[in-house]
Amino acid sequence: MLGSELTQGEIRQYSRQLILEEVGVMGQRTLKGARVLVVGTGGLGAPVLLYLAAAGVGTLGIVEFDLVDQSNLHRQVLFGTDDIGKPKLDVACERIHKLNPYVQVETYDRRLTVDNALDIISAYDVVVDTTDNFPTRYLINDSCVLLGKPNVSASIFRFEGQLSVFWPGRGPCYRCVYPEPPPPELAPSCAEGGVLGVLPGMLGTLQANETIKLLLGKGDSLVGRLLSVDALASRFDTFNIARDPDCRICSPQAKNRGLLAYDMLCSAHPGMLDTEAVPEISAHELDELRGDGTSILLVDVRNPTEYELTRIPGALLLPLTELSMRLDELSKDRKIVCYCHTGKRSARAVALLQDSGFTGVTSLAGGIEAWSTQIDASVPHY
Amino acid sequence: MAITVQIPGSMRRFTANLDHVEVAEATTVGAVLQSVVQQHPPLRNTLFTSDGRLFAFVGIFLNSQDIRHLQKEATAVQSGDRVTLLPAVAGG
Repeated sequence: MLGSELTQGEIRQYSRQLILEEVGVMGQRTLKGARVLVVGTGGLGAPVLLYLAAAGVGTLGIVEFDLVDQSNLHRQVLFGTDDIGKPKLDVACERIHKLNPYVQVETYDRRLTVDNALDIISAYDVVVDTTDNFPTRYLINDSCVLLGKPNVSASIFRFEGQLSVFWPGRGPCYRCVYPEPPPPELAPSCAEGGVLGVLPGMLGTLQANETIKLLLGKGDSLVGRLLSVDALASRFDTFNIARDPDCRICSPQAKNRGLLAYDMLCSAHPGMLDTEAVPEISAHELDELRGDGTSILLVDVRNPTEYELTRIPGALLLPLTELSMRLDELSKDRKIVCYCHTGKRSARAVALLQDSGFTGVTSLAGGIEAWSTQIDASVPHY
Repeated sequence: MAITVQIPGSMRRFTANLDHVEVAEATTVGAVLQSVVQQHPPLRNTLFTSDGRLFAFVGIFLNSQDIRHLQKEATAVQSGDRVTLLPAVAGG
């Protein structure tokens, strides 16, 4: 929908962009009338929101429920040191209003779920997916397909990122390219695998660019193409992607089109290790056992760089990714406690060890974070 | 000239940190992938399911084309081609 006539203030604000013939007054009014929903205000969401606000996208919806953490600051450039502990949504709103008072912000202080996704997304022209997990990515995709909304989607990991525009009816959807998510053991998060701070900046600005092009109807959209960025190699490759004639959500003959139980999506792999029933030990219990001289083999299943950063004294480094190939280094007769950063990887390690016949194995609940909080404050949080 | 297989960052821990692997002789994408996992066995479990199917979360591209829209693993390759493995990632 075309926005109202530009005020003098808006003309001054957007003058360098307005004089581009591809934008002009009508293009700027198109941006002013546009409604864009940004899901997430993390590494990708920060540049997306800043640039869309700066460009004069009239209404920005933001879905976010998290608080600012110090470990966010190397990449989430919306936030500063003073914001640690504050709701990301509040800080993002304030930042956007300072940057551009002509932009309206609509906030959704909640997770996007099966129960609210269609309602929220239906009120917007375009969705920008900046989320950090597979269930929400599939939920956004399927909702956009059902509602016919374009989805400007980017994702990042370590030094690499991917970007595309999934526009129902005009090109493939996310599911056409990736029909299923990886099993959890093959899909480390950025919290586990790390991410270069500048990478979401690169991908997020490209995402904002695709959104603005799409709203203006200018340039060549990434519909039907997948851009792959390798920041280490400074390499940008574009791959052709196409609709999957058997896609469960966007193919014309798809049956039972509707939203699924997305949390199950990433845990429903046959043969997957069951981490729900893994025995745990608390940081205090571990400390007591170590104190009374009980012989325990402490196994650190994190990555070598995390081990180098900080560790519990006496721990053997055996990364989860190498565990299945190095089982012969562990004795089945010993009491073993596995730990990682927060307890997720160590639960998988314990499940794997149990699967291989180890019995006296437990996972440190809460990982080294809990150890740092409860037992040894000299171990830094990260 | 060989066929070059681009290895994504998330899989380089299975290829001794190599960002690409050369395959000297192969006539299909399937044979290229088999050669890569023979050269780097730890890669097998992240590319193939336990029953030998390619995981659906890994896109396989011959030059710029998705092999699912060519002849899948039977797609013919020529010397000088590039095969890219592109797994879904979720970080944001």
